[in-house]
Amino acid sequence: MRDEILKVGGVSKSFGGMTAVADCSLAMVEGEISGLIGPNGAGKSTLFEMITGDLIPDSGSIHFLGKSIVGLPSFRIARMGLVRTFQIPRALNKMTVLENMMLATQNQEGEKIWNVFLRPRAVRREEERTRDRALALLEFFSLGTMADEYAGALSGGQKKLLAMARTLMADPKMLLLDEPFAGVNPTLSKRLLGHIKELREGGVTFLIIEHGIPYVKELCDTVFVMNKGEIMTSGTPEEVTSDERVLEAYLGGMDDAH
Amino acid sequence: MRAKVDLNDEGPAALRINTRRFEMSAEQLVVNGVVLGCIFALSAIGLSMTYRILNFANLAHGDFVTFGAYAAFLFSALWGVNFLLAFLLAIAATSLFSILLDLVIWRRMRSKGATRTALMILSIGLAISLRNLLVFSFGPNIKRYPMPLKEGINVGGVVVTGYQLAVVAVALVLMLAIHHLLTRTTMGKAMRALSDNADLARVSGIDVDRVIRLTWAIGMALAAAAGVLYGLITNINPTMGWFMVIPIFSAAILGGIGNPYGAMLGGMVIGLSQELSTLVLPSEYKIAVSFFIMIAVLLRRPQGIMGGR
Amino acid sequence: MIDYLVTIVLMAGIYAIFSFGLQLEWGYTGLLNFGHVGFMAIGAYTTVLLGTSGVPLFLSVLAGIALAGIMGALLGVPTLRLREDYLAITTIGFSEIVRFILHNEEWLTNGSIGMGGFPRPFDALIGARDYELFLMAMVLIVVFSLYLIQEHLIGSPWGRALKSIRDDEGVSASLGKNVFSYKVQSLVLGSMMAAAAGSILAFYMQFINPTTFMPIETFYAWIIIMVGGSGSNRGVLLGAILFQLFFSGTRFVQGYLPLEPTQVGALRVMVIGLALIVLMIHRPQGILGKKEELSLER
Repeated sequence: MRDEILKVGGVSKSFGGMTAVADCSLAMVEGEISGLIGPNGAGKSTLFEMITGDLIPDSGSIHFLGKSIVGLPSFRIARMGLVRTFQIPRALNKMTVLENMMLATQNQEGEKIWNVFLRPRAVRREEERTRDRALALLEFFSLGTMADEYAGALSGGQKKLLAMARTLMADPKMLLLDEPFAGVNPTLSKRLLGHIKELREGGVTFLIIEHGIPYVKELCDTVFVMNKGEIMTSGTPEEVTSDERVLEAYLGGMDDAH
Repeated sequence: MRAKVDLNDEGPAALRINTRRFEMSAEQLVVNGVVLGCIFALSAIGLSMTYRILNFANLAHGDFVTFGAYAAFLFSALWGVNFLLAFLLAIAATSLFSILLDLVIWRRMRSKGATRTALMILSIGLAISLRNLLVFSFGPNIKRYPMPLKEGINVGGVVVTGYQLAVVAVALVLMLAIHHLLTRTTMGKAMRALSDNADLARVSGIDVDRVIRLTWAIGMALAAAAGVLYGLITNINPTMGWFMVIPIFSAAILGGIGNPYGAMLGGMVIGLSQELSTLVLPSEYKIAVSFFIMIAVLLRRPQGIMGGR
Repeated sequence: MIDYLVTIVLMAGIYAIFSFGLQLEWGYTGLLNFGHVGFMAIGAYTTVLLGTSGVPLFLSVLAGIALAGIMGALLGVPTLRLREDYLAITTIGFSEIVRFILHNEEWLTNGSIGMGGFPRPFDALIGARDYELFLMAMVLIVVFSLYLIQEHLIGSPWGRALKSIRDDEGVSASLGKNVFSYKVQSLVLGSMMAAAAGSILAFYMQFINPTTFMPIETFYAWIIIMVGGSGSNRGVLLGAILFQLFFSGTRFVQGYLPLEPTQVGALRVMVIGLALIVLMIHRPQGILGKKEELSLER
């Protein structure tokens, strides 16, 4: 029986009188891949941001690895192993691809200023290990040749891959992906699909916001459907895509031809 | 309650006659505070508007105040023009100058997609250049307008000079004019639209560049007016505007960036606070009062009194 | 002639030390600090006050540096979470209030009269004529040490974290970096460097008063790092030298221009202001800065 990794209990969020999320609850276990779908404006991103700590819920609870994370600053939640990507990939454009990668490692001794001066050799050794890991991951994502380029020079699709690779440097326990396949060409998408499955084999849990139903069907064990700030229903991809209410919620049908 | 005041620092003209240390009543401080508040209010309106519509903090704003004061000095003292006319010419000159700067500098930066930070740094360069241009042209010494020294009238223990009354009157007229402009003219409504939602305004067909130039023209006209009025009741010196930067920013932030009525209110509050603070603080620390008000607002309610959510 | 060169190198060195601190804050962390001179003042006055009270000079200088660091933290904690423009305005206010305090608390600082005749390092051992040479050597040692330290810092994981904040705070936080803590560290270190520059300046000028620390000094540091190159330590050295040459050079020609001394002074500073404007429009990365690393255009 796998452990529960994320538990969201009745969270709500309003912005100046407009309710974005109303009383949402969901639970996920380790190694699960769940999808979060719904029409635009359903509140998916808002829910996401409450889990990552970028927004504070007006009410409700969120537990990650058994610990309450409501009110924790987002960097602390990231350090706990809950890492996100952004819908429009945000690479650190003014740094090289390799720097982007090496930055993402958690718990680097060298990031503490006293270590930089008092333990230079240990820091150097750590940097070498980090660099090796980073280069290996970049190869894995076919970005090895771009290591010394400024991240700003990458194409949109490459930036998405870099974002994925970067989150892996952080050795995450759970990944929140915001539309990882949007705007990515089919070849890259296939590779991305493969990576996600491999990572799940390694024990990483995924919660994915995605509009492309084929991907949802291929990847997800469970799908949560949001509409107008509430979780309308949940179930397997097959159950959810044949549910009348879900089809109605998407005015004019879902994005089946992707 | 009485407050000690050092007459060697800025004070209303009437009090500069003798140089003894002088004690001021709370009522007198209120009068001085209202007068100063009017000047701050005029200046803060312009700052608030340009801050919102151009989306950056113009650190050269104080030097436009100074520019206006010197322009009036040029016209009245050096060219012998009637003071009232000089006042109007100074406002016009400053307005035109700011439009020129928009065409040459700010519009270019906008088209490059310059960030708020870049614009701020540039505005520092502008502030430095402007201030020193004035020193170069007029010299570093204090100047005064060629206006007779007015004795104040004593109203129940409080001294009020004709110039102080003029400041308040002119400020009220200008603030009413702004109100009329914003609520009843098309341009004014366009300015409010751009201020509320830039993207929506653009899409609705508003000529953004034109509205921006108008914002500069009006904002800097008010700044110039503030400068002339301040010069009238104290003196004209190259750093007069720069030293107003903190109180003016404080007023604009307190009132809510982008809200001219907030700026008016903020200006009055800051003016009164600074003057009344001399009851408990040495008068040299007046600026600290506006500074701490600003910090308090930024930490607790950054949108100010009249700002949005 | 030699004296002249020594003065140029010395002053360039002091401004370089001052500007290294700002480079760390702005060039590497992206902090808009417009109150840098306030920390220089704290360093100078602390050193002078303690030195005159008999505290060994080495400790006085360290105390100045430490106090500046503490003040940096005190200023930073409430303000470093503010948006960059609000930070800029509050830092201006900070340095002005420091100056006002130095001006008004006459019992402590002698107010506008200033303080002179304080002890300098190795005063008794070195004659007045050679002292400037000694000070220049000291400054050069400090400048190059700081250069090496700053290069080492920037190349380290700590430096990389700072650069990520300069680039995109949100991404940095999403990768687990405590953005606020790094910003405070940057401000504290930068302030300490400013204080060191202040102490050395005091030793050089043998006299300080509040007008030594006007806001324009902060903006001199800004023009130095903007001209030399945001994010380049070599740029700081280059910028400081060019700046000092410009200042000294214009003093040279002063006699030949049909202008009053105050006019020349104003013209000099006006050129600096114009240079900043032109730089921001046409080459914001300065001479040695890298365009790809700037955050000044969207």
